[in-house]
Amino acid sequence: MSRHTFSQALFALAGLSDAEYIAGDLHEEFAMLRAELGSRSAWRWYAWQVLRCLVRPLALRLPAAFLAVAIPLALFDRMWLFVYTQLCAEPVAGLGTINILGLLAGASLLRPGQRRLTMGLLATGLAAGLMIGPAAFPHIISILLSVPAGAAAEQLRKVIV
Amino acid sequence: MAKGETLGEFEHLVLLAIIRLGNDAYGMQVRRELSACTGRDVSIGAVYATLERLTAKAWIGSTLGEATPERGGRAKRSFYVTDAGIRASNRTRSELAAMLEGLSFPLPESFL
Repeated sequence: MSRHTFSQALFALAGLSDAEYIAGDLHEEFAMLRAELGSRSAWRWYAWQVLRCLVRPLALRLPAAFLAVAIPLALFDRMWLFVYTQLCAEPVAGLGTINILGLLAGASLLRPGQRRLTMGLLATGLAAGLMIGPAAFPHIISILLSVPAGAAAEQLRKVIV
Repeated sequence: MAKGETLGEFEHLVLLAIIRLGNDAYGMQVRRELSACTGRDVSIGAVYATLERLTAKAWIGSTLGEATPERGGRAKRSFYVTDAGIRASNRTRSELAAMLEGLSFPLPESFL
């Protein structure tokens, strides 16, 4: 994957509707700058533009993602962790916090249509990556169950708003 | 006059850049025109965010071009100013002119 294609994918992931046109514009101007200033300066300019493109949509999306997705997901994760500890085993310190941070980052990056499934996969991968072994399974199940909870929270938000 | 019928400062600059560029007004050219005329370091993201706002207000429209090799096979979206955009620009310019009337520039640094 070229850097230009990667940038376009990042723009799309950040929810920029004009991802293809922005990537095309950057590609075209990058070629002009490389001829004028050299490869290193052109790449520096390019990376700076990509970063600036990503900051704005993420900053705009973060509060909504926090309210609509991350909080419900985190609450359900806590609830299922409680259920799990009542049934059989010790809770795992720190995993909940890491899940919340991961889910918050994921929620801010993804478009609403992609959120439910991708966030479930992201959180599951995160949990599995941190804890290999039977102790991880209840957390994975709890996070998977929290994904429909996030979807329900989104629906609820639509009804309220 | 309802709120939102006049252009914000950056919106006006973008709209004027589109008018200046004529048929060749697409994201990169708008960005370069703004940078050249104002000396600002304008990001392509800020330009597109503003273009999106202006499109939502129907002050500009756009047409899609074909994908070209110099753009890595990506299509180009060109913009034009609508009649409503021209009216909004004229209105904003009149308001600014009215506010500037009677003032002499450069303004003194202190109004003691």
